[in-house]
Amino acid sequence: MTDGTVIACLYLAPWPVTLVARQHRHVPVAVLSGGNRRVIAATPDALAAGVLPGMRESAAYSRCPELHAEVVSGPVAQAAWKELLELLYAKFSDRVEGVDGIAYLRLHATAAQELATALHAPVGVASSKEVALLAALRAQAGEVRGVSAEQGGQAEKAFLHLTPLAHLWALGLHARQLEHLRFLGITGLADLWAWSAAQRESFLGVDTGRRLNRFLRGERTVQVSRYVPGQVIGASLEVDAPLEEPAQLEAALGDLLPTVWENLRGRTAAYLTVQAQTVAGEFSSTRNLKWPLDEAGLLRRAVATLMDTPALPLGIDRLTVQVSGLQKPSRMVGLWAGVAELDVTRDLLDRFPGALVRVNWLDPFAYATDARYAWVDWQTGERRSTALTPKPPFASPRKQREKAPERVLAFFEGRL
Amino acid sequence: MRAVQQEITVQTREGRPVSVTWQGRRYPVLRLLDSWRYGGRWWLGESPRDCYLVLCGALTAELHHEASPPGTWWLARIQD
Repeated sequence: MTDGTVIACLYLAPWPVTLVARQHRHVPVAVLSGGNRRVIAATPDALAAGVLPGMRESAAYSRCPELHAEVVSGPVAQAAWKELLELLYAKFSDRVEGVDGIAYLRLHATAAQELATALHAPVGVASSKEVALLAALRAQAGEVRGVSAEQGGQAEKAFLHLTPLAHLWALGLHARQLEHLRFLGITGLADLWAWSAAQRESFLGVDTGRRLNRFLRGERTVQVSRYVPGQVIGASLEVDAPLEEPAQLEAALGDLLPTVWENLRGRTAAYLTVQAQTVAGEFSSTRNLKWPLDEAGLLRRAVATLMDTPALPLGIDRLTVQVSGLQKPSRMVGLWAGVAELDVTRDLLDRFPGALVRVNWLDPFAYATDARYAWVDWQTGERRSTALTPKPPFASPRKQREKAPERVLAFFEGRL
Repeated sequence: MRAVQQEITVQTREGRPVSVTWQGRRYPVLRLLDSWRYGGRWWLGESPRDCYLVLCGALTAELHHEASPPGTWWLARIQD
């Protein structure tokens, strides 16, 4: 552990099931394969009702009639996962990594509880990725399970001794090896710890055995790589004479920031990075941004960020401002699935304004389709006419002029 | 059913459709599945229509025939 931060493991595996279960709360959920529609994975309540992986969709429904089963395509799951990582980066930490429903973050211990509550997911906190994952496997949804490495690692050792056999996949053991160990009567990591390193290697194979031996000797992964954000908004300025005065710097940033501000389009950003190229090399500094952002505040923050580096006295030849960790303000944390959809709609309408329509119900019980509903423009609400749409009765200007006295008379006689 | 809402040519015998010409192809009506009369939105100037659901080989189509002259035939919907 360094500077009071710990590694947190956010456990959302199997990810497609978690994704569907978030949209259909309070019902058992299963994810089906695209081709033959067999169950790939299911939530614990669906498994308890008798739904098993590999089962046909019809068989799963017969076991559990209230089941919600859905096919989640790979790209959809990947897009939602990327969106979640982006959200974790924007809200919790700049060090985020993860695949297939297991995310690791480096953050302060107090932020871990916030993470677990916000996503209502199990979170394990430890000084290494492996122990954090084992801790997350033993935590309940919305709960943080912390394992301290202090006191010479005694607490961690006691925790690891209680690791059940079913969780050992986290240390690289395959399902088949776990089955063999179960057959031998091994119930957890404590039993394997009692074996010699050579016994473990010969029984589990060289790869898995060595990996487990290294773990039991105390070798851990403590690095969480820096997250590379998917979308970065930036602007850069090259000057003829090097900037050396604070006033010059402020004027240069004043030129750059309106472009960044415009491209943000109302979104907020989590991080501001300022890079300065000088004769002595490139300097870069990053600071957190606080919501709500305003243009003047962004300028002050950018100046302060650059002042963290020794670039100004050296003379700045090129200045770059970047913001990352983009997110929409006032958006709830749990709505990952909806955010991408909204972005897609906005992007589509930006490029093709007439591409989307909404349905406007006229009379759902009408005997003709064209009288039941009409398509209206997504943005303007204007009706999209078809050949069957009734035209307003046409009156020529001459007829309108002829009828004008009648309308005036009708008005004064109280008929209108 | 997919909404088409296009004007088409229909050959009739005793007022009933016997063949439909759509997108350059002629479809003989094999079976008249259903027929009904739609009153029309008179307040918008629509005239009443005679509606037919017909089976023309691979094509199942809903045809509308305007009761008032010129008696236009419309292909309202087809089976996808």
